[in-house]
Amino acid sequence: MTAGLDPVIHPVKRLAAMSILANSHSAEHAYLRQKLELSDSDLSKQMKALVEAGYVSSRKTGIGRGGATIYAITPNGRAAHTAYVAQLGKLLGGT
Amino acid sequence: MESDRAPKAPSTAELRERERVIARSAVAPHLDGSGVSWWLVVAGSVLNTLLAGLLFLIIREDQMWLLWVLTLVPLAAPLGWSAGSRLVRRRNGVAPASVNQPRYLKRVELRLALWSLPLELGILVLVALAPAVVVITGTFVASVAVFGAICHVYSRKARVLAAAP
Repeated sequence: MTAGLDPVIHPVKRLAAMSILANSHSAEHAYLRQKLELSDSDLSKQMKALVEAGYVSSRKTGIGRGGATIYAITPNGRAAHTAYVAQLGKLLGGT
Repeated sequence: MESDRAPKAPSTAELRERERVIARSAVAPHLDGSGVSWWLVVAGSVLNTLLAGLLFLIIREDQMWLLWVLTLVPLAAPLGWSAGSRLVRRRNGVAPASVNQPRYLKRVELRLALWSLPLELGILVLVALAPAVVVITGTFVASVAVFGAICHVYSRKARVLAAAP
C-alpha cells in the first residue's frame, strides 16, 4: 500500500466499478461494461482481480444467451472502499 | 491489465481524478428510472386478476379442485419474474430494477410495495361480496391504478435523485 491507498482498488477502472457497487444492491456485467465503457475482456480482468481480493462476489444467473453475471460488493470490499475514500480525502485535504 | 501497484507518490492531479471517478460513480445505476418497466404494471395486474378469478371460483362457486392451482403460484412467480427480466434485458441491455439498483432505491421500492397491501385486502373483499364481473374488472382496474402509481412514484424519485448534484 502506498500513501495509504489500497493498491487493489487504486486503478481507475476498478475504483469506478467499486464505487458503483458500493452504491448498488448489485450490478450486472453488461451494466458495468456499458457504464465504464470497457470491453468485455477488460472488465472481466478488472472484476477478477476484485473477486480474488475478496472485495466483490460474483454469481451467474440463467444459462446461454439469457445468462448474466451479477456482481455485488462484499463487507470486506465495502470496508476497503470506505477506507480508500477516507484516505483520499485526507491526502487531498493535506494538499 | 492495470497494475496493482499504486504510484509511490500519487500526484494531486491523479488524486483529483480518482475523486471525480468516485463522485461520478456515486450517481449509481438506474437512477433515471429506466429499470422500471410498464410491463411490470400490466403483468402484475393480469396476475392479480387471474388470482381473483381463481379465488372467486373456489370460494363462491365451490370449485375446490382449483385449490391445487393455487399451490403453483409460488412456483410460477419466480419463473414469471425470470422470464420478464429476460425480456427487459433483451430490450434494454440490462436487467430491470432488481439489479443495477442503488441501495437507496431498494428501500424506496420496499416502502412502495407496502402500498399494494390495501389493494390485495380490497380484492379479497370484492371476491367475498361482489358479482364476478365486478371482481374481474374491479381487480384489473384497481391493480393497474395502484401498480401504476407505484411505478410512477418510483420513476419520479429515481429521476429526482439522478438530477441531484
